Amino acid sequence: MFFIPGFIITAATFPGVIVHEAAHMLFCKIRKVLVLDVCFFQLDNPAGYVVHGKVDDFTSAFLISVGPFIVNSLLCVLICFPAYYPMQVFDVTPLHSLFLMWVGISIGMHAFPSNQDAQNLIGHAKDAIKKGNPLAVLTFPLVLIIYIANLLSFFWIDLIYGLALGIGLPSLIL
Amino acid sequence: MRECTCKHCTKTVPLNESFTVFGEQLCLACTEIQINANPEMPADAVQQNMDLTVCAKCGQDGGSLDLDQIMGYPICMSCAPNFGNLPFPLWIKLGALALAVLVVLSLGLNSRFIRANFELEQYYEALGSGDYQAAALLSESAARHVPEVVDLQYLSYYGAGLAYLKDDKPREALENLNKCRDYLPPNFEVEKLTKNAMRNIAFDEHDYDEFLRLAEEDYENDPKDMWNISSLASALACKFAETGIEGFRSRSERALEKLQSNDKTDEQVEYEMRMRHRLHTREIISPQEFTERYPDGWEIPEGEK
Repeated sequence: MFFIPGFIITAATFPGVIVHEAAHMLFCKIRKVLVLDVCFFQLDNPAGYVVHGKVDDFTSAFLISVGPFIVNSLLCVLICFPAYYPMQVFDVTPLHSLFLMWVGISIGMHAFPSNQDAQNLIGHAKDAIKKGNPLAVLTFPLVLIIYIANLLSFFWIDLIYGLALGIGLPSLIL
Repeated sequence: MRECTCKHCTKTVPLNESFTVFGEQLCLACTEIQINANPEMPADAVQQNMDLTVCAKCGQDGGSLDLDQIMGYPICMSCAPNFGNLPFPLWIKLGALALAVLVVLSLGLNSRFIRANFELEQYYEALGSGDYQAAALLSESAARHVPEVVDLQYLSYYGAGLAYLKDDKPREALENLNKCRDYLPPNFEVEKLTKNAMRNIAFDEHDYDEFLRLAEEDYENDPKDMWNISSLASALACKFAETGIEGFRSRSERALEKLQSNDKTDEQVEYEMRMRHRLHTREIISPQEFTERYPDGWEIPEGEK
C-alpha cells in the first residue's frame, strides 16, 4: 500500500469534494435547516465543510448526513456509465470519455459521509429510536459502515468505491 | 466590546476570548493549563464565553449594547438577513449547470457507440434469420457510427458480401468478401463464401472449366459437405451440357445421388430438379430463368424417361 499525501488526492479529485459539500448544503436548504458557514473546497483537512444550525428531526439529520452519499453515487453512475460504454463494448477510449471518467470517479470517491456526519446522525438516531421510529434502527449499521469506510480510506476504499460504481457497475451490466 | 478579568492570572481579555472552566472565567492560556492538568475533564466543563455586543458573523463591535440574537448568536443588522440563509455562490450554481451539461454530454457524445452496439446486436439477429440485406444495412450503419472500430467495417463488408451472394451478384459479393477475408474469424466461413462467389462468377461467364476446377477443389477439401457436393454436381452437369461427354453426366448423377435424403428443403428439391433438367436437355439456365420457365417444377417427359 503506497501513501499519497491527502491534499494531493483532494486536489486531484476536487469535483467530488465540491459536489459532496454542495449536496450537504442542498439538503439543509430542502429541510429548511440554517446554513451558518460553508467551505466547498480547501487544500486542508477537512477538504470542505458545512456548518448548519440545529436539526430538529431524524429525517432531516439523515438526509443532510447521507444526502451526499446518494447525490455523489448517482452522479458518478450517470456520468461514468455512458462514458465507459465505448471502452467496455468497443475497446475504444475517446479522450472525452477519459475526462468524464475522471469527473465521475472523483465524484464517486467522495460519496462516503464523514465520521462527523455519522456522529451527527447517530445522536439523532438514538432520540428517534426512543420515539419509536423503526427506520432509525437501520441507521446504526449504516453508521458502522461509514466508520469502517473512513477507517479503510487509508487502503483506498473510497477510490475502490468510485471505481466500482464508475467501472464495475457498467462492466456488470453491459 | 466587553472584557473580563482572568480569575487565575488577573489579565484582562476580550470576553469572546475567555472561557468558563468549572464556573470560573479564565483567559485562553489559563484554560489550556487547566485542560492539560485535568485530562479526564468532561467536554462540557469548558465553555467559550460569548460577547453579545460583538457580531458572531462579521466581528463588528456594537459598543455596550447587546446585539439581537439569532439562534443564540449575536448578529449585527447587516449580517442578519443572510445569517443562516447562505445562498449557493454563483460559481456553485454554474458548476451544477456544468455538471448537468456533462451528464448530457456524456450521453450525447457516446450515443453513437450505444446506437452502433444496438445495430450490431440486430445485425447478428438478421444474419441468424438469413435477412442478409438488413444485416448489410445494419452493419454499414454501425460502421458509419463508429468509424474508428475497423472490425465494424469488416462486418459491414461481410454483410454486404452475403447480401450480394443472395441477390446473385457474385462480383460485388467477391469484392466485399475479399476486403474482410483476412480479418474475420474462421467461424464466419469467409473463405468458403469467397469460393462460392468465384464459382458463381465462373458460371455466369460460362467458364465451366474454372467452375469445375473450383468445385473439385472444394470437394476434395471436404467431400462430405452438402454444398460442395451440390457444386460439383452442378459443374459436372455444366460440362456435360457443354461437351456431351458421358463421363461428366455419370459423375454428376453420382454426386446427385449423394444428396438424396428424406427431409429435403424446397430449395434442395428445386436444385436437384434443375440439375436433372440440365443433364436431360443439355441446356444451362440460371435459377431465375428456371423458376420463370417452370413455375410448377419440371420432370423428365414420360416418353423420354
